[in-house]
Amino acid sequence: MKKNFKLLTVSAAILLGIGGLTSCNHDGNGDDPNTIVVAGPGAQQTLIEELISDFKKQNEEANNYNWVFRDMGEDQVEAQVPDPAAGPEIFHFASDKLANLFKLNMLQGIDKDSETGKWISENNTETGVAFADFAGKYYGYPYAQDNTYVLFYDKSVLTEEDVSTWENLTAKLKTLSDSSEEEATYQIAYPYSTAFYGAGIMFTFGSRYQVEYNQTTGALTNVTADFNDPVKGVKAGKAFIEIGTNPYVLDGGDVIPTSSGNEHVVASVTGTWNINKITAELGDDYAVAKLPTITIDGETQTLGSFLGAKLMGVNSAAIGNDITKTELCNAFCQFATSAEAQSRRHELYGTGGTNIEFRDSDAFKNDLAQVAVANQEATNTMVLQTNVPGKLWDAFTTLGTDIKAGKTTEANLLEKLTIANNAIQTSR
Amino acid sequence: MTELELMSKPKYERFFLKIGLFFSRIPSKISSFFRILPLKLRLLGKKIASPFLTIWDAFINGDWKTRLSFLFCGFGQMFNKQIVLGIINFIFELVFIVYMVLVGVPWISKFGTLATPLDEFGNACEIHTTSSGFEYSICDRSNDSRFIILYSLITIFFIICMVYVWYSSVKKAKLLQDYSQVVKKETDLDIVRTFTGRNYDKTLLTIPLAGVLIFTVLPLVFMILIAFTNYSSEYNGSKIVFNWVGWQNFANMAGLGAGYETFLPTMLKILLWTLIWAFFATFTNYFLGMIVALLINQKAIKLKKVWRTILITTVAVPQFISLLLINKMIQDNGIINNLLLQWGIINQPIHFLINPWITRVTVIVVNMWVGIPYTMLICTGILMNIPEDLYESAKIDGASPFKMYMKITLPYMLFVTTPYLIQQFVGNINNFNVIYLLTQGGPLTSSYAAGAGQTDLLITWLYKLTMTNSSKDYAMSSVIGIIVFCVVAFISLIFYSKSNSVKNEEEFQ
Repeated sequence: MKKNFKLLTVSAAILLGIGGLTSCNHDGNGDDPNTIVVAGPGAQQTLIEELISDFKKQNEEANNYNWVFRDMGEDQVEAQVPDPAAGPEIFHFASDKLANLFKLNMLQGIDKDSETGKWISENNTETGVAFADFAGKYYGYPYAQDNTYVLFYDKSVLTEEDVSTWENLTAKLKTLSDSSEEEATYQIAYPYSTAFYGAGIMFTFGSRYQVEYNQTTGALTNVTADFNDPVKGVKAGKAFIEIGTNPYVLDGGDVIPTSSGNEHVVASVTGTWNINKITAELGDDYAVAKLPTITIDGETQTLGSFLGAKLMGVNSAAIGNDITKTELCNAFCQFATSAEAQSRRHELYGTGGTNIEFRDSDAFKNDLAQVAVANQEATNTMVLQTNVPGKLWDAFTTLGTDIKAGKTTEANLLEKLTIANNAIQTSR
Repeated sequence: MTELELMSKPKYERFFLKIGLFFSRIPSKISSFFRILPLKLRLLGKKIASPFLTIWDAFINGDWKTRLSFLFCGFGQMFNKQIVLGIINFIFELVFIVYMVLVGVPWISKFGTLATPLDEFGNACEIHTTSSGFEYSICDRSNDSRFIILYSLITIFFIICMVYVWYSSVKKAKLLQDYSQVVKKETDLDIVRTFTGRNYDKTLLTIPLAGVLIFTVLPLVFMILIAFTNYSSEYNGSKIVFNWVGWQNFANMAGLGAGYETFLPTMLKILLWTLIWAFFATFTNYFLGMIVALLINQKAIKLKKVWRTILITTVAVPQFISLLLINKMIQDNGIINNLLLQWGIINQPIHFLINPWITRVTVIVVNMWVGIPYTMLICTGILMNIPEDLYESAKIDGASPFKMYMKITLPYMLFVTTPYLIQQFVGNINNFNVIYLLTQGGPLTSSYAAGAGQTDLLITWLYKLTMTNSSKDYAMSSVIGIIVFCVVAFISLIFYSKSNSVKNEEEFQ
């Protein structure tokens, strides 16, 4: 009995080991050359599968392949694809990831003078094309350029005049708070200690960063910045301190303007990705505008912002030298970023587009949020979120939290800006 | 001075005398170490020389079957009635030769130089353009440094296994030759029976050992080797090759490399905070958990089970969720600040996550909330085992409750839970969850390098360097990993070996 039990144990252990090995599964298409994996945000799965279906009707060659959708956020490509060669053939990505994806050999370049290259430059806005332009070629097909933030507000409480300038806005919030019978504090949500928004404030008076890349390797070779400029930088820093120490400012991200509770957040600097929630909350009182202007030391500028884009790319490492797949995947990307596709995307998800024809349509022009984004873009304080130096995020997060904690004041502002600027310039 | 004379001295005198004794014994300890050293070295030399002597003996004194085993593994056994075992050894040798010819040698030959760049920019792939203007690349995996290191390591492990099999085969052949006239030879069936007999433990450990080798040892060695390369998001092997850089990363960690001047101060501050955090996280949970267990154990306390259940419900909620919720609660606009402002207790929000000292205290306090119920459970069980008569005798002798705690309860608890305490301390050095989910290592400061925050542990800083920073530095992360390993190993080995629980395993004194 004891011997049988031992034999049983040994056999079970061996079977478990074999069973464990057989459970090993290869994610994605593995080495199947007849599968094309299209990775995109799960929220857009319906649209992406429709586009695949329509593309297959138009392109006979596409029917020779098995098209598979994979849920992957635009900013998750690097994290979810540890081995580029085993990654999806087509994927959606955010513009600030382009340089890193290039370095990982995950993006196929497109000659600017080729037919496709010309299609990209002729059918998309200059801004959209700029997002795809890297190292002398296009490394993606832009389809959205509204990854930014504007000012959403409750128009039953604030007027257009109120939100046009920072001074008017805070004065109105003070008036509302002082006259509130419930002793409520009326506030604007402005997540200034988050670098995505804090950097925008620093762009307000003209401070910028410039990056230089090795055009072959994509490696960052030099970063220069002037955030510690005694005029531009200091003014931006003062604006930062004004926002960070203002009692009517709530440092919170993705806050939906609402009048409920004791904290009346009647305006919010947040992104277009919250449009549906905001319109659901405010209903007819929904309004949106570009960011207000701010006056520091006699100069008035619109508060600055980052503008990011979304693109589709073809994975060079996964496709290798399969020319047929290369042509097919690029054809699909062109199809999925056309005017019609962008129009459908806007209709379903409210995403703004880069296609010139689509932006000329009534649907785009009637979208208040997109108009606000376009108005913000028309100011000279919006910076394209391409090739962002890696240390910029930490530098401005630190600056924002130091201002919030009272560690950065006008007295030591230049010193703190110099520290931040030096840190940004050491990005590699 | 005798023990009695020492005990008769006042406490402070005893303390200084003990320190003096410690230092005065150092020279004698050093001299005894050097006296024993030659003997230990001789024993070590014998151990190292033993396999070589065995091989030499087998070659010189072995018969033709034994000598044939030098070239063909298992032949000695095949000629001595262990046919199956001999064939298995021989097949293993054949597999090894085939593997080395087809796979091993091509990979290991590149181990010294790693991948070769295809041009002056360090590209790992050939770039071509189609007629339609699309760029495509042809990459050869055999020119990817990551795969070169990995497959070279596998080859080295395989070589070590082969050397062991060869040595065993030769040794066995000689043994069979020597004892063939004296004892009955072990046949294949006898050996198979030992798998469920005297070698049953080895049989059961085979698969776990293989698992440990593949999933623990191999990645560990791989990580250590990465610390000697320039593997990063720039030099990632996919597009641009990475190569050996020797001790450069360690020099960078010491602040000697250009652009890495702030690394050493950052690393030292983070290491110091890691040790402080581990100390407070361990001992606050331990002592407070013990006190809570003692309180609930008091005879005067009613509804003991109810109190224990309430505390245990915090354990039932996954730590992940608790910590994320608390993170929201302690924000400047979180519920705690809102309530305190409403009640007029404070005028300004408390910056739980912005002021570095408040943040540090906050993480320790939150960790207490998370960890005390665990310790309370453990202590409750142990406290019930302390003999009651010890307390009764102490009461009769007039001992106060504090005296009883210090002389009876605490020594007993420490004796039983010292390994647990060491394990907790070491675990808290790598306590990623509490720090990262609560504060993400922040608040950030410009004086720390590479995005490190003021509540970062070494492990969370390592995570940032590899996962969240936009420019990832895998090589420097490997160096941090080695530092963490050294700290943890040092603490574990020293304190565990010195603890009473190990030295006086059989008794409680």
